[in-house]
Amino acid sequence: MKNHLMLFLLLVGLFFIQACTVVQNNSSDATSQSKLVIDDLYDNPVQTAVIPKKKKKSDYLDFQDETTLIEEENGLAEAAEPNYLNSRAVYANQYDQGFANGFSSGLMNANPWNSWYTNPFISFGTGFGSRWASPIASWRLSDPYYFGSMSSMYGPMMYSSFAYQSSFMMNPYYYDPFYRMSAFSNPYYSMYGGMYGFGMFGPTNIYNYYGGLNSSYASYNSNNYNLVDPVKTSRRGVREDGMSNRYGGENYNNAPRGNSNSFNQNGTNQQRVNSRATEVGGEAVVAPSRRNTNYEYRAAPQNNSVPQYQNRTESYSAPSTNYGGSSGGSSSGSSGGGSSTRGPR
Amino acid sequence: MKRIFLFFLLGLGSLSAVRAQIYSYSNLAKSFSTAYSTSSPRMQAMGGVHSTLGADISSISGNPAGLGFYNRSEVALGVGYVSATTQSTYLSEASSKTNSFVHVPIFGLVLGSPAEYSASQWRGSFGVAYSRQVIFAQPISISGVNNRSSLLDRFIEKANDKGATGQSLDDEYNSFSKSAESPEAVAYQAYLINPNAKTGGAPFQRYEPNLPTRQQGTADNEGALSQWDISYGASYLNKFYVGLGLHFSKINATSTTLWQEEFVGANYVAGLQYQEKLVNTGSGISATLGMIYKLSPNLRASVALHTPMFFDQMNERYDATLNPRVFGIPSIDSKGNPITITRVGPVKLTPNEFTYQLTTPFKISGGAAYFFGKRGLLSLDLEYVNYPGMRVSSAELSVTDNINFENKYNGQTQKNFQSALNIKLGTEIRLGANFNLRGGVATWGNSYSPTYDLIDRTVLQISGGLGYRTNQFYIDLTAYQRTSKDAFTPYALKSSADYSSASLNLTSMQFMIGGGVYF
Repeated sequence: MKNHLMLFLLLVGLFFIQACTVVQNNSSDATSQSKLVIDDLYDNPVQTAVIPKKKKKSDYLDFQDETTLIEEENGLAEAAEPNYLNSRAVYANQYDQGFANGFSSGLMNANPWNSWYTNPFISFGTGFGSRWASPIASWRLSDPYYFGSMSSMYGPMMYSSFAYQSSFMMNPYYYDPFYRMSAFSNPYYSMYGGMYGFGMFGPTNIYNYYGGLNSSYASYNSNNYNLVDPVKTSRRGVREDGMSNRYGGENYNNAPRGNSNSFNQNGTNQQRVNSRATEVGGEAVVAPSRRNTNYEYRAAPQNNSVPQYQNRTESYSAPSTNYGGSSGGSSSGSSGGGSSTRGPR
Repeated sequence: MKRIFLFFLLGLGSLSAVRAQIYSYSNLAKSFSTAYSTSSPRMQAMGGVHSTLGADISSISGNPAGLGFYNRSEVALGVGYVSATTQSTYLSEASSKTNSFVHVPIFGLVLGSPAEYSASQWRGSFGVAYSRQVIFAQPISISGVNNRSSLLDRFIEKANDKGATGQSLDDEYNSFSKSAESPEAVAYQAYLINPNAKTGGAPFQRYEPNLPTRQQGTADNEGALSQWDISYGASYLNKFYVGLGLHFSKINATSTTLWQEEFVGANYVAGLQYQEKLVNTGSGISATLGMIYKLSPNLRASVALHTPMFFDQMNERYDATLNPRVFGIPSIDSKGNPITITRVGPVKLTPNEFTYQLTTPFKISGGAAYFFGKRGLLSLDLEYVNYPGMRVSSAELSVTDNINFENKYNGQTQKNFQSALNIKLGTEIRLGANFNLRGGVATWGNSYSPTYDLIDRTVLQISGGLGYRTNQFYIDLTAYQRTSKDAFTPYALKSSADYSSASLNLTSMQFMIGGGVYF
């Protein structure tokens, strides 16, 4: 409401100022307006050019007529006199023939040394990463030299359609039956992979996670490839199914819907009284061991259900120069902790 | 030469370093679809009323029909200093956080067609511009003493809900990557929650749950939705103007939240620190068709249709790390000997990656402007945004999963959001030959439906500015202040009595300087 009032007052103020300006405007003469600088927002363009009358072609001279006739602009030149010596129109067939000859010879006589298209060492970036991130990228589909049957005619083994650097492998739009398949299955790969040390499974094997494409672990763990779990670096999928510390989307009364931005007015912040017997009194639950061993520890006191310290609070204190000392208590029998202090240096 | 020097001088110090929270997909779509300051300093000073006015680089991204007013070519640049402040109240405690930065919200080039060289009744101008449509800048800081709950209670509820046991949570941990699959498993591996000693599973519990918890949280945003605009606007007999624009957008947004807790008077667990980070990147495309008509020499009306922006590949990555601080947790080692854990290293949540498609809402804008001769103008812009029309989907998911994904989040969108009407009013007064005085006010209607919550999220902006203009160049100074209300809930529990939200007062100020050179 306050905002609306402010809005209203501002509007009234603006109208008032505007009204004053209008009065001033009325009292001024036309010359004062002409002093204003040019502003396209206010000024209409001054169109000085006159739209020329088109002159009809005539066989009779008219000396009163000062307009000029530009035949090319009016499309008269081509219609009347088509036979320019230098025109492509005359040699149209020759041009087409020349183009066709070049096209044909390029197609039939090409070798890696005279044609980019057939030189396997010249890459135009057919890898996935070099694609344009736009719909325009689909132009490659229509380029027969990249993905057509002629593209990898050179060499049946290394550069066949179904082998290393084949167009099928690089082309996301065609299915390569041998893509990332092991040397056993890919008839074009066993020799190459074996000779050059990529391991029995070749650089494109699908059975060993360490020997993936372009992996430096090509021959790593080749003996027990099926016994090692892959390192899982990330999971894929809808984020909130796995992550949220909030109720993303579920519909609880007055609870955030659609995440963290709505408002819960029912929080009481009253002192919590816990009814569950296991949590009363601050009695320690012995934490079962778990996979994560990234911790420091010390041997527990004899009575490990009740710690020996009470109501500790965190505080920083200057560490002593006695590096053998322990701030956390006894370090006997412990290899993990208790032998150093932590905190600001 | 001096003009060019001046133009580049304005560009100096153009640093783009920008700074809320981890949103769900529907709220993310909303934040990516809400544009506030999208125009040149001149138009910003007038509340952003660029729909009907034209002859400004704002026309390139706004209403391309306005390009038809250009009688000459122009290159222009705007530099802004943003100061975004959030005042919060959480558990009766007040906090504040400010984020300031300098950025370049707009620059562009217009190639106009001088009227004196045009023999046709049609003439037009071509424009290319870069504009930052949405900037993610508002920071949040909240703190308070919570007597009812901890973030750990959220993890406990999640573990209980899915019927987890200590063993099942243990299985979610990958020793090699030192990450766990779910937040509750992360908390378990951090030795912060334990299964019930009798059942080995639910109900999970934490140490000394009745202690008050000192909580402190921050949320920061960085990045922007920027776009390149290519537009053409034409005029017919200097009376009817029509234009078409294509917009190529890029989202680069990073949200980071840091939640810290300290258990006052604890014996076992001192506290924790939970950090989340969400990175969103993507590129999209949209188009605008606009028209302006001069009803009389002093009165103009306009309409512009903005298609939804389609983001083909929205890539997101979510990371979280839990850093526990412990005094001494009684446990047993692998040989069964009792030990006391004195320190636990950070435990990571397995990063989550996802690719989805996003469609922003359809917009229609229009307005009218009245010109007081050449001495000034008054302009009104109305903008209707169909927020319930926002859509997400994912080609990465299976057909069934995608249907569930769409139903869930698009359902949320339709339930939580409503169409909004944005109103902008601005005026310009030409004080003399060279100086212009401007003012404006704008409101962005509440786009959250009444069933979402009771907060009125209407945004109010007041702006003003001064301009100096010659026949060869111009310089504009602008300032605006924008205010609104919002809320932030750091975590939620089943019982609404157990957790609280922070109420937020958002203020954003921007000082802009901009200029352009005609040629």
